[in-house]
Amino acid sequence: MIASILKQLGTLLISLLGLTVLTFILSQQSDTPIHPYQSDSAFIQYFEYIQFLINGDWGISSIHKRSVLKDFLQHFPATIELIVFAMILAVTTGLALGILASTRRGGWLDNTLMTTSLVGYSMPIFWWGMLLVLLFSLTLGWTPVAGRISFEYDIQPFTRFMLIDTLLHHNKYGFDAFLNALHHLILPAVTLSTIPMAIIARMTRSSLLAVLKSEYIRTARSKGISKQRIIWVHALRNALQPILTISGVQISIIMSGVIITEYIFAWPGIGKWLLEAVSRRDFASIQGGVLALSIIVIAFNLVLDFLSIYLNPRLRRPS
Amino acid sequence: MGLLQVENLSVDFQTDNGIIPAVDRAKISINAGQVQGVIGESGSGKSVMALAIAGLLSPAATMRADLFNLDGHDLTRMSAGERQKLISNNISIIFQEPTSSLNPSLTIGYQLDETIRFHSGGTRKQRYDKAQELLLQVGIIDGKRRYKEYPHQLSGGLNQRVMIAMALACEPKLLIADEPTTALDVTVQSQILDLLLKLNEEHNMALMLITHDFSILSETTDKVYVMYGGQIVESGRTYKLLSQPYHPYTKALLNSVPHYGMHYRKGRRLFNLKGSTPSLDHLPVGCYLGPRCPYANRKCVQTPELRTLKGRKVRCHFPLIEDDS
Ligand SMILES: Nc1ncnc2c1ncn2[C@@H]1O[C@H](COP(=O)(O)OP(=O)(O)OP(=O)(O)O)[C@@H](O)[C@H]1O
Ligand code: SF4
Ligand SMILES: [Mg+2]
Repeated sequence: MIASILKQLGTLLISLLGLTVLTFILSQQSDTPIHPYQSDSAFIQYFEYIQFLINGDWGISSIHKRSVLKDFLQHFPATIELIVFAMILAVTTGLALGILASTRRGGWLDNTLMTTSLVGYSMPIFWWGMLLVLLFSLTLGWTPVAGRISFEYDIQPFTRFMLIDTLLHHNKYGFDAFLNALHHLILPAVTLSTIPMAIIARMTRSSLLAVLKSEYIRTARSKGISKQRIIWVHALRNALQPILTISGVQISIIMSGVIITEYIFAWPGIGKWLLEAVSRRDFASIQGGVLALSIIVIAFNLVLDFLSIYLNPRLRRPS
Repeated sequence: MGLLQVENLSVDFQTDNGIIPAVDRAKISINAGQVQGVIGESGSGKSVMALAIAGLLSPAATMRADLFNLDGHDLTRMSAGERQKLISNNISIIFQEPTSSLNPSLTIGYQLDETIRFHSGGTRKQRYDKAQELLLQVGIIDGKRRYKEYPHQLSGGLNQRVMIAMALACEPKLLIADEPTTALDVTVQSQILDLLLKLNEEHNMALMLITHDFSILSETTDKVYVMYGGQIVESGRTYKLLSQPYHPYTKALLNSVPHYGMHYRKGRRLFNLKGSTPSLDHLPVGCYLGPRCPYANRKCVQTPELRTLKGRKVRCHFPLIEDDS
C-alpha cells in the first residue's frame, strides 16, 4: 500500500513539474512582464516563478489590474458549483443507466440506452447546449435562459456558492431563493454532464457484463443469492475500477466543456473569465487560470487513484 | 433411495457458428451418500453437464431434460425461481480454480457469512460461530485470522477449502466437485480429495467427482460415467468398468494411463487413439468415436444408442465383451 501511495505521489510531482514549466513558458509570452525576476537566466527564473506561485503572487491581470489569484478565487465557486453538480448527475445517472442496460442485456431497453448514449457522447456540447436552451427555455419556458439567480433576489456573496448563499438568506426569502438558484443550475449542469454521463453509462455496462461472466459470480449464484444482491454487492464492487478510471478522464472533458457551457448560459465562472482573458491577451490571467484548472484536474485524479487503491484489496493488502 | 435422477439431459449453445450440442441425452442417477465419478477428455462436456445439473448455465445455453428429479421433486414442472431455490438448497458445486471462484473484493468471512445467512440465518454471533466451525471442519485451523483475509491472501488449496466450507454451509445432499484438485499442488490434491471423502461419510453427502484422472476415480468412486463428445459413452460400477471396459473409448483412456496397474499386462501393446477430440460443431456422422476407433466398421455410421449390458450402459455397436476375458 505504501508503495502504491509513493508511486502516486511521484506521478503527482512529475505532473506538477510539467504543468508549471508549461505555465512558466506561457507567462514569458506576456507583453508586459508578469513577475519581476532578479535573474536573467530562464532556468533560475523558473525557480523564482515557483517561489512567487507558492507565495500566492500569481501576477496582476493586465485588464482588471487586480491580483490573478484573487480574481480566480472570486470566479471559482460558481464553476465548482456547476462542475460538482454536473459530475454528480453524470455519475449517478450514468451508473444507473449502465446497470439497467447490463441487467437487460440485448433487450430493447439495453439497445435504446446504448444507441442514445452513443448519440449523447458524439454531441458537440456547444450545439447541444443551444438546443436545450431553445427547447426548454425559449419554447417550453421551463428553465431560465441564463445566469445563476433571478434579479429580484439580493444575495450577499458569503461563500460565493449560490446554493449555500441562498440557504444563508433563508430568513429573508425562505427556500424560494434556493429553489430559484437550483432552477438556474439544472440546464447548464445537464448540458455539461451529457457526454460524461454517456461515457460512464457505456463503461458501467461493459464492465459489469464482463464481471457478471466471472467465476465468482457463478459461485454466488450457486449459493442462491438474489439477482439484486449479486449486482450490488458482488459485481459492482469489482466493476468499479474501470469506471473510476474513466471518470478521472471525464473531469478534463468537463473542464473544457465548462468553458463553453458558461459562455452559453452567461455563467459568471472561470470559463467566462478565461475566455475574456484569452480574447484580450491577458497572459497573467491565462497562465493563472490554466494552472489552477490543471491543479484541480490533477487533484481530482489523485483522489480517484487513492479511492481505487482503497477499493481494491489486492492493492490495499498485498499477500 | 434416488437422490437425483436425470434422463436425456441435453444442453445446446447458440453460437455464431451455429448450435453446439455440448451435452447430448445424458442419463444420471445418484443415490444419497453415493460417490460417483465423471471422466472424459477436455471439451467432452463434463463441466457443462455439471453446470446444467446445478442450474448455473449461462443464458447462451438451452437445456432440455425428459426427467429431472431431485430429492423427490420433479424439477421439470417448476418455475425457474422454484427450481433454482430447490437446487441451491440441495446441490452445491466447487470448481477447478478456487481462487477465481471467490470474490476478490470481499473477505473470506463476508462470503462465508453471507452463505450462512442465506441458508440457515441466525444472529451475527451464531453465524460467526458456525463459520468458525465450518472452517475447522475443512481443516483450516487459524480460522479467526483467515476470516478477515481476502482470497488473494490465501493459497489455492486454502481457497478450495474455503469453497468447500461455503458449500457445506448450504448443507447440500449432493456436492459436485468439478476437477477440484487440477489447479493445485500434488500434495494438496490428495488432502483435498481426502477431505471431500471424509465429508461424504460424515454428512452422508453424495459426491460427484469430475476429473480426467482415472487414478483418482479407482479408489474413491462407486460408479463412473465416461464422456466423449458430449455423450455418456459408458457407465457402470467403477471396479468392473475399470477392470473390463466395454467401450473402445474407455479402454483407450485406461491404456493412456501407464501406471494404472490393475489389469495392465506386460507385453500387451498400449493403444492410444489416433487423431484428436472432435470439435463439437463438426461432429462425425454416426458414432462420434468412429474416425478414431480401431474397432470401427461400416455399421458405425449409424448412431449407436445407449444400451444396457450386464448391468452397465454402453453406447457402441461392438462392445468389447469377448475381447478381454
Ligand atoms: N458458454 C459457452 N458457449 C459456447 N460453447 C460452450 C460454452 N461453454 C462450453 N462450451 C462448449 O462446450 C464444450 C464442453 O465444454 P466443457 O467445459 O463442459 O468441457 P470439459 O469436459 O469440462 O473440459 P475440461 O476438462 O477442459 O474442463 C466445449 O467444447 C465448448 O465448446
Ligand atoms: S460404435 Fe463403432 S466406432 Fe463407435 S465405439 Fe463402437 S466400434 Fe467404435
Ligand atoms: Mg471442465
